[in-house]
Amino acid sequence: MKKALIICAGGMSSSVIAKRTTELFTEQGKEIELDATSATQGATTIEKDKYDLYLVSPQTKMYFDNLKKAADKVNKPIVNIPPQAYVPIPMGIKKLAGVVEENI
Amino acid sequence: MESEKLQEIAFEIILSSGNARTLIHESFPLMRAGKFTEGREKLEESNESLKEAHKAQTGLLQDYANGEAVVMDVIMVHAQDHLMTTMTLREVALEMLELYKRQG
Repeated sequence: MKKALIICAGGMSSSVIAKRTTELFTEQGKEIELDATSATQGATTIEKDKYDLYLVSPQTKMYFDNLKKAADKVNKPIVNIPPQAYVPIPMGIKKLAGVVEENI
Repeated sequence: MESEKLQEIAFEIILSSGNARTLIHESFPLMRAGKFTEGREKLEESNESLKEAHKAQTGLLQDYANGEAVVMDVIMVHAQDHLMTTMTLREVALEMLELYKRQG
């Protein structure tokens, strides 16, 4: 099982997106799971090194550089989520699943 | 109105507000460096993003005014939080721009 973590401002919108994307992967029989957290917890969570990929939500792009420093320390990939892949409709979720598979 | 549609609107508000917030944060180092024109441009750009968020919100209010039942979801409250705090931050940033100018 591979794991990815979405980081957004409050960890709320990312929870919705993480849940839907995990559901899609389960439907497709793929062993990938997504979690969510807030930007304030982002760096400390990354330091614990429990995920294979980190995703930064488009509305918290401004924290990317800081989070990248933490991800570089544990040598894990981190990417910005494009806005069109951060929408809770099937099309958006599919796009995010693509981003995850490309980078994990 | 379906909860899926509401969620979509909430995400639109969150994304546009987040984009605006990123631009406001980009204006701060410019102001500090005395680049007032560039700083102001960022704040103007951020206003365009806020307008997008407002557009999404206005649509919702119009539906409500037309008698359509709009169920208040927690994600919508969260979206409002994003929008209002970002609008306040922009107002403060505009004031800071004037202060930095006076100082420089």
